[in-house]
Amino acid sequence: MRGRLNDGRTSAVHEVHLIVDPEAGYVRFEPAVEAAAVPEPWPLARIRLVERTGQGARLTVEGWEGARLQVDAEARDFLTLHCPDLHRRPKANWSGLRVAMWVVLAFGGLVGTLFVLLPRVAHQAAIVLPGSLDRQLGASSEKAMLTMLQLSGRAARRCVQPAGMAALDRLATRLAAAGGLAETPRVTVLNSPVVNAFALPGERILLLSGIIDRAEGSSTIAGILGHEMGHVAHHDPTEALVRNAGMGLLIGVAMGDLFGGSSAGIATLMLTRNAYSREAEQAADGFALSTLAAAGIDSQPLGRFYSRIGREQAASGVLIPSLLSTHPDPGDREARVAREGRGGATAMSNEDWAALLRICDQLAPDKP
Amino acid sequence: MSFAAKSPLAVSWSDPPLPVRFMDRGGLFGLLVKNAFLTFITLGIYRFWARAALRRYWWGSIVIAGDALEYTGTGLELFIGFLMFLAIMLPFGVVYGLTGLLQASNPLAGALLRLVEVLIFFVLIQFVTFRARRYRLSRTMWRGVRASQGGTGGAYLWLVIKWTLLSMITLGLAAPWARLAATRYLMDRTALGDLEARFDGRGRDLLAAWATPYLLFIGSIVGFLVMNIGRLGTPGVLPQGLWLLFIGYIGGGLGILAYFIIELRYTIRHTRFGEIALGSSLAIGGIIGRVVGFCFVAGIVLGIISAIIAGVFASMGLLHPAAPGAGLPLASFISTFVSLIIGLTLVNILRILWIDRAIVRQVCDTLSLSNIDRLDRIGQSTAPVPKAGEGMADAFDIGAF
Repeated sequence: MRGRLNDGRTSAVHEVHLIVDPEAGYVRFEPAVEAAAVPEPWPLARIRLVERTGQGARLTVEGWEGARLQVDAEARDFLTLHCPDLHRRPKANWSGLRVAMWVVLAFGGLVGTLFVLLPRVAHQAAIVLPGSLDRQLGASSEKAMLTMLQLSGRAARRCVQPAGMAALDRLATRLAAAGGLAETPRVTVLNSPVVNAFALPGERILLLSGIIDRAEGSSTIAGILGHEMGHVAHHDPTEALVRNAGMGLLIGVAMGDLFGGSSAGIATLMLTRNAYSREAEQAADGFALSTLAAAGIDSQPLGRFYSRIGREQAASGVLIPSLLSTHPDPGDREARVAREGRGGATAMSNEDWAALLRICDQLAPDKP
Repeated sequence: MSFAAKSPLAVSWSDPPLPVRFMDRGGLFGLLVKNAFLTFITLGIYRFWARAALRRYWWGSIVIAGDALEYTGTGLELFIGFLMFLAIMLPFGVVYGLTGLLQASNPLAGALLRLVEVLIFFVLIQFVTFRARRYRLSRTMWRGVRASQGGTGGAYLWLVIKWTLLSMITLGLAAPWARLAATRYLMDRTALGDLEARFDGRGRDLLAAWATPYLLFIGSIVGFLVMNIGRLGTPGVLPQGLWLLFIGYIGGGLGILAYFIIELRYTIRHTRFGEIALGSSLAIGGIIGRVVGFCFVAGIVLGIISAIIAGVFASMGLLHPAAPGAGLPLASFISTFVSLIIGLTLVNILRILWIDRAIVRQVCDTLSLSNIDRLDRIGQSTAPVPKAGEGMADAFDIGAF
């Protein structure tokens, strides 16, 4: 059996014959070249496999830095029989306890930052952020929202039919006054079949026209506006923006180069997923109900709307368990409306409601 | 001379024997797919072990005088380095976030603090670049002899700061001097066993190679400004000569790529390990052609992925109306995320197979050594061995290999 040996002291190559002596527990080396130095024998019990190679294997001796022996397949198979711990891993420099300590420290810190520190920082940030910056954030989120709707196949354009806009303005002003908001949020309708509405930073509210088409009455729209005004009053949109940006950054760092510099991408996606906590949603629902009551608007249509949405979600087969979804369960919301809601008049005159239904008859030019 | 061809167990190759060769161990594609898959399903935790496995491939494919390099680092070491980074960096992240708050209420103080943070960041990156190199060299072995990087992160950092300032003052013209100064610091303290490296390059030798892209950039911008000087501030008038900027950027980009290749070849030629002088006959054209081709293919792959994402948005947005205020449906959020990851992973695999391997192969196969007999008489290194991996360097993806 032949081998190619490095003793770990110099880079000299020793071409050797292997003589395995199981009795003594050693493999001795005989130089293949006459009159060459005889390398030290290796104890069989301490021989470890570095890796299998195309020709055979590369071996080392535990505790003997740089000792390497390349052998052919025949010698490898022979030595496998006589080296009891050939496949034992070399001892790691790191004890399990110290590794565990760093794991706990790192992940404890990460979880603490994500779920305790960051939400508080975001909450404070939303309160102290000056109005001018908040409005800039609002303008850029509105743009992002338009881009996303555009990505979904249909470019969403703003609906600007004058009579509809005037009707919507009147309702928004009335609700803002009833809810005690200092300023009336800017409400914009976008031409999109998706049934949804959003509150944005800088006191902006976006209604997708799908929600108007499916509202079955102006009081539902009043309720939805009230809900989004609740988010505005509680600074939720700004808070979510700051929190999600921070989360995207932290998760990006923790995930590292998994996606090759994708932390920016994650952060952007986080920004667009404009979700609030369940507490924030419940608070916004409460704001909507008290605002409707103060304005003397019937809140029962809102409850019926929630139950319709709930049934549709169930029917569409993508039922999201209520704990996982960011919004309260539609059934709970309906029950709350029935419990806390007050009766009243409809939110708009018939003419105003008819005008609002036609608000998308006229669309703003492509680039707002 | 105990040369490879004489030994049945050395890695064999064709005549005439080259001292350094890239001899593909094989299985790179399978390794990359396995790495990507395991990294994906472990949410990124496997990436440290993936990186160590990939390095074992690269090191093991570089054969010097009949013996391959060996990478002795482990994924665990990289993982621990990363954990240390995470534990140390989190407070910094919180301070960074709080600065944003301060900036909102007090713009001046906030901006000053942010500037300090950016500087700290720059400093940290230089520091970890040094540490990462020291770690990698300490895990590099050839014929049982370990490589090492001497010097300190602090001294290297100071040198880089000095030269960065000088580069900024000269508007980038001093960049070759700055880069070679860093190379000199690192190389003069690099050793394989007791064989110490020396670098004797000078910045002025690279001035011509650097001036080409530099003048293309500056020239196109100046030309563009001159052409539009009368039109500045006039609304509604399109600027003239956008083609000039276009040519300047494309030409400058290619020029910088060529510069990096020339600098690499120059660095090899002006490095010696003891009595062993290194030489290189690396050609520029082949590498540039490959990189340009790769950019086209990567663009196409990413374009297809974007189309898929757009399709997902389209179906999700229309099929599942969400409750008011719910934002994007979770399902479309996740599928977007997944297709983004798959696309970037694909491009990454393509880059390693097509660009990285070709460059390493060309660099190795064009490398020559003088006095190869000296290779048999290198003593073992006595330099200290760092324990943990490069942590932060991994987080910022410094050092491609």
